Amino acid sequence: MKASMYFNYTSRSLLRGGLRTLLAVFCVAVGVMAIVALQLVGSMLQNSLTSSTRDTNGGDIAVTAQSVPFKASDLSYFEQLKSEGAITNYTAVMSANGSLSPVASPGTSGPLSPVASSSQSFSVNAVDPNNYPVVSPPTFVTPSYGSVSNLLTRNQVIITQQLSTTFHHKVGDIVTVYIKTQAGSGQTLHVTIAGVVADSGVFAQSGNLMLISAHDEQAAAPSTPASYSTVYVTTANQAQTDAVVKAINQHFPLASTQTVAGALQAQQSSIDLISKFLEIAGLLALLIGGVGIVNTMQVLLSRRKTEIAMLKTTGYRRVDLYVLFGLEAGLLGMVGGIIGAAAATGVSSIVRILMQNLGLTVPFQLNPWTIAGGVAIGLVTALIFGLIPIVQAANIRPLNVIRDLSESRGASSIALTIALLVVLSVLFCALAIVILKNDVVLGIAAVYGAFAFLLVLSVFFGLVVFVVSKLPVPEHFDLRYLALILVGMAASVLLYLVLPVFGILLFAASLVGIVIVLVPRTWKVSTKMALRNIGRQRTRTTTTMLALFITASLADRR
Amino acid sequence: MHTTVPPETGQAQSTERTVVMDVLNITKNLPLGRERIEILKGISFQIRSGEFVSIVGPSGSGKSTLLGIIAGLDNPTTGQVLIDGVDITRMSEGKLAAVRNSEIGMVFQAFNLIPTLTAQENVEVPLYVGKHKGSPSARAQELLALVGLTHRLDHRPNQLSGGEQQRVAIARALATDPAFVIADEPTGNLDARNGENVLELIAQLRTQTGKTFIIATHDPVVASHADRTIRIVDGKITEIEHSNGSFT
Repeated sequence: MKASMYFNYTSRSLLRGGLRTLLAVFCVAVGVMAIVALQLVGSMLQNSLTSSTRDTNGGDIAVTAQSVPFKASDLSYFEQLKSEGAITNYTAVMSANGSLSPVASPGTSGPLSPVASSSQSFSVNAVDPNNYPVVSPPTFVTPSYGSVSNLLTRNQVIITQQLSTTFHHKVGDIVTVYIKTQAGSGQTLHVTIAGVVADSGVFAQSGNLMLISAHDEQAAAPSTPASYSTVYVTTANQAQTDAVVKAINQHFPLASTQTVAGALQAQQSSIDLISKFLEIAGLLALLIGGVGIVNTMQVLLSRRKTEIAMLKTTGYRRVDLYVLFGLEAGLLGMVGGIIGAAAATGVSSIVRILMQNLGLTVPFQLNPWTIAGGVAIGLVTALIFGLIPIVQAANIRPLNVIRDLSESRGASSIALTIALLVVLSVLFCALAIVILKNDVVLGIAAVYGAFAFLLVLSVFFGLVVFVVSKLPVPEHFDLRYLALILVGMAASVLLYLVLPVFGILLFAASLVGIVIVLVPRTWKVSTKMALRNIGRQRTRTTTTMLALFITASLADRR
Repeated sequence: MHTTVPPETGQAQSTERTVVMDVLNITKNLPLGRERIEILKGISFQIRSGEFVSIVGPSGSGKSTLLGIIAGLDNPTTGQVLIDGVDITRMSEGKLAAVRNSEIGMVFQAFNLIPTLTAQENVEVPLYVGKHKGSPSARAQELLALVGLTHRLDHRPNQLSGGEQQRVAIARALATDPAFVIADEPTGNLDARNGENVLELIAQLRTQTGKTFIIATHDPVVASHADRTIRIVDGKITEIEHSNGSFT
């Protein structure tokens, strides 16, 4: 019963708030959208990079010899390890650069000069079709039931989906490929595209890649000795991996080895860095949204001063009003959170598409906990930032119901506001630490750094509001007023040299100063009233300017 | 602690009545620039159970300030307001809120209904704080029936006439069954006919409920309905007129 009345009162009050309520919902939604979208993107990236690290690594160990490639005789060492049971399998890969001839024509292979520009180049891996890959087999897009061993025969090649998209080639196309290894000379092959593999698993980070049979590659240049850039090795367990890595490093001191654990660690540190960056960006957006909530709720509640005084007259205590307005802020935060989380889903999908266009395969994954967390963050943020206006509203004296009392600006009021700001910053800091996965130092640095920035900005806007509210609107030109205009113009010229846009704005304002003296008297009175009104609620005007500035900055960044 | 006083002459003082409110030497100073102005200069009077008292005076005489103090909305600079022997001027915020909820119902010139709530919900508002028996909606319906608004339960304030809004406000003031109903210019925003209707309603409710009514007004017609009229000029009581025409 009571809950129903409280809900009716708060929801209808929000509806009555109209555009102001919409603005507050927008503030929450933008903050939540930023944080959820960035978390989703971070999570997708993480999944993309770590979910199939073994496949992406090509095996438990990837042995790379870029400077001195492996010769065919070197492979006997791996064969020996396999026969000893130290490893379970291995496969050697010859890497080369390839480029396509613009004219595709069937024919025989033979040495030719390069026929394509470097912008059309891609990677070519010559592999043993019967023993590649040694990890999970690739997923074929076309034909859906293809396999490497069946398709890599008789001058047939397999290409990645990205290469297919980039070069507009499909299964069945006959292409002329110029292949050049690091050590050997170039050769041209006329090949048929027999299959297209998905950009996942072993090909997750391959980009534009063509697979050909090592046999075909050797047949095209029989006089060139085989040289392998990488050998992929699988082992039975981690202990075996560690032992084999040690042995390989001793046997091939110029080669480098990368294990799955090593790849994971290297990726994890960069993923952590990206995730942290994205989370801090989202957090700042949330903080900025919070400023909007403070401003909007202050305006919404100050409009209802008599209503609040009336509630107090009927016996409502501060704590009752905290519950009532807390519910209002909570509703606002929840609606904003839901809208923000829904928008974040769309935004993360767009970001994923953009990343894929940049060549990074990112699986689309919606983590329900992240989305639910977004709604919760919206709710908590609205409650945290609603704290100041709620406490201020609950402090309205019941006597306001009889006569309009000016807001107290005494020492106790200032002390209360400072105390509330401290509480707000501590609560938001706690929220930030939770969002940043318990990184206390980063949370404190991000929140208080942003607060310091907002404080500096507030002081600047406060100064602007003060100066604007004191601007004179004279009836006639006099010497002092002309001096003021001249000072303004001189300052605008100096400002133009440092900040051209602001210089122009100040110059325009100075010109308005001249024009205002010439306008009719009624216009002057209206202008004077407008200027003085700006000065009446300096704190609120400053907060509004801050919120507008930040909203405009966000919109500009988008 | 009730003080028994001798019965006064007049239509409503046929039996002995207890003092339910004792206003003792109230002063109120407010800052005006660098100076302090004295709005109330030592006001003292008593209100008895079931009495209808009007406080009259010209604009700026301090009657609304006095009303705010006796309703527990404001604190005096000095002096006491005893309700049933308990001084409400030195109470904590929580206790004073409880007194306002259970002992005092207020009616205002501007009605002050909550615009987003229906007539019934407006009457229910005081019943959701403090301790009250029974269903708030049943109580609200009962009171709205008493003021003749059964057909307006689900109407919002902007769908009601001024007279109807004031009736809802009176019903709200009675919701928690308070000892006092304190009204500040209750007919000030109404035309003569609606004003007269509201005064009739107050008289009728007074008979039916036995409540004590204290009304601040500058309207002699309103004051003429009261058992006693306390006249304030420049922050001081200049005279107390009884309904039988006698002066104190």
